[in-house]
Amino acid sequence: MHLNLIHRVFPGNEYPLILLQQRYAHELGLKVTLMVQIDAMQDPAIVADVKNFHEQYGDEIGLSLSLGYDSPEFREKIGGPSEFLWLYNNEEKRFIIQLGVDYFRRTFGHDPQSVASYHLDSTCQKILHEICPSVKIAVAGCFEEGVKVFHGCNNSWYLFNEGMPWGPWYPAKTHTLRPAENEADWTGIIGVPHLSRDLSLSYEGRNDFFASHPANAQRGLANIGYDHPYDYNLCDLYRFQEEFNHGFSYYNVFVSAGWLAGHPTIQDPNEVSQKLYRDLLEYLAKLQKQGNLTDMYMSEFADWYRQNWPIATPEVYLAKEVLYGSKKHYFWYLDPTMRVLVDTNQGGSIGDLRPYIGKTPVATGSDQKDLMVGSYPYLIQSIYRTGAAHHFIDGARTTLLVTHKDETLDLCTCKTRVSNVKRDETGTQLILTPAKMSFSDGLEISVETEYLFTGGGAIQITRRLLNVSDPSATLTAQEYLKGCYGVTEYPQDMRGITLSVDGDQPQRLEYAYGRRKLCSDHAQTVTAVIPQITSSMALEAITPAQSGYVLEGLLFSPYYTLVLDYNLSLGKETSTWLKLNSAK
Amino acid sequence: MAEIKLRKVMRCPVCFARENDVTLLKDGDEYYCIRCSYHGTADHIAGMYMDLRKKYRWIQHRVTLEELRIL
Ligand SMILES: [Zn+2]
Repeated sequence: MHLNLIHRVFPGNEYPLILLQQRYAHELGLKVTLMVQIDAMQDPAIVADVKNFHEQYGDEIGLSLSLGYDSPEFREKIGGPSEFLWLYNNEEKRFIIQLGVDYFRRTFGHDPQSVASYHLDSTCQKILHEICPSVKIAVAGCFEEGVKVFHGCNNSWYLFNEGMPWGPWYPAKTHTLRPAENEADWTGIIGVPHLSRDLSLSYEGRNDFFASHPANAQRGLANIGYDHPYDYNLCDLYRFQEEFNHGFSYYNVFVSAGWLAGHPTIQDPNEVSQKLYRDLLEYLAKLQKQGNLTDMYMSEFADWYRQNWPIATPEVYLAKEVLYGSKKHYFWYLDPTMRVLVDTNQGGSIGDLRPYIGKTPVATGSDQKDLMVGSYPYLIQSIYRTGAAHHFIDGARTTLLVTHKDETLDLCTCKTRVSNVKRDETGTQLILTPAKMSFSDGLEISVETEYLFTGGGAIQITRRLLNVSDPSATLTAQEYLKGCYGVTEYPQDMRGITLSVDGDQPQRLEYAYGRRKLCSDHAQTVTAVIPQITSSMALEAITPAQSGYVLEGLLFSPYYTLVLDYNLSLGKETSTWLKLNSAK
Repeated sequence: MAEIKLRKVMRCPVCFARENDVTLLKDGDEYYCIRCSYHGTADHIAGMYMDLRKKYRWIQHRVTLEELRIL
């Protein structure tokens, strides 16, 4: 596993805690990248310390740009209460980035190669690359930071940054949370996330409770005083991903010093916070000495990544939940055309789907249409948008509905787990453990689901009927997809979406919340075109389907539904493409 | 579970159960929440925190790389 350990350098009362973080890292022989703010570069004592850290220990000196611009130049040109970099207008972004680079050059005598910000939108990356082409790498996003953290701070944390990769990536020019499809599509700066997040619990809950940041776990009450195995469990979970990604995995620790003492969301005494931070670094140092971890400076990692990880390489993450002890598995797949989450606990339903292939352009800032919302839009987000039915009708999700006589069972009520992951030239194959379903007349069946992620915006979904207690029973199955689009938990305007079905009675409708259902015999393709996010989504039968339909929603259930109907018989399989595309 | 010491800045345990960080204010010996109606002593709050931790059934359980492979 590769590690970047990052410390932010800023002036003020917490400076002694930065020195404490540095002492821990140096005592343990870990490589540190220091992210120095503009305000810190005006303090000669801090600058002397930073230069000394570089000379004595080799620490890389980078530029922190998310906050801390206070300087005579900033006060004269912009002033006012401080805003995060990515929220200023274009002219102000350019001024601040230029100011940071100028201060850096004057202070350290060279240009920075590494930069940090919590989010670094497309306008910021373009300006940064122009002004300072030496920048190779940037902390440029926080995995799934958005709605849940907003709520968790009593609706006050306006950082909407969902739908991004969980590890290093090549940010795309039109939306920096989307991985670039090729060199021309890339901003020229490698992105790394701010912290390595728990890919089960950051989906279900707050990413700032469950991350490579011991104080985050303390914030989530996931330690008991000095007892904090979760911090090591999460680290090992990232190491585990090497087994599915050609031996590669990445972890970073970027804890601001304020978390080590007096933070209002931490109820443990300061000595506990400091010990837990030290413990995590000790564990990382131990892994390094064992040869199980390679710590690098950020620019050093950028060179390694560029040489070893080609643009557009698909990645997966098998998330095993390790704090509640639920034994749940989630499976994540990522390539330049999509990010998708398979929720095996719901029979293998898709719980989150981001159609990168649509290349929805997004930038943040006071002069941008998206303002503070930098997330990549979803087509399915089961936690925000209802998912399986609890009170009323279901919402965004996929499933298989199996019918016997007049009873229909929903695969999402069956717990499954990841049975096998195989990756080769044809793509990434994911096989789940069989789902066992029991009908009220005593009929019992088991169904196996296979996903094949082939790239190009396509997922092949195969269902196999492995067992039936009565082989003469007649069974039908519906491949079922309910979608929407959005960036938060609130519904967006669905008008303008078109739904269509082919087959014997081909039909099409424009979404008007009219509750219409269009059915067609021998339909092989059911499609939704969502111009709002320049994307389309379709189910296409590979095994011939009997029929299909599209269903428009209503204001109390603002979704669209795509369905293909199949016969299900023992020993045979039904196969369907889920295809994403760009659309206007 | 072991007893733990707390700092004096507290978050409301009821709001925390909704994954919301709300800092409590102090009124005499009691803390109170301005977001909800919770109020209680430091001991009561510490007890609520320990109750909240019960959801993490593996909070004291180390899961090694070898165990992850078979989990
Ligand atoms: Zn409260």
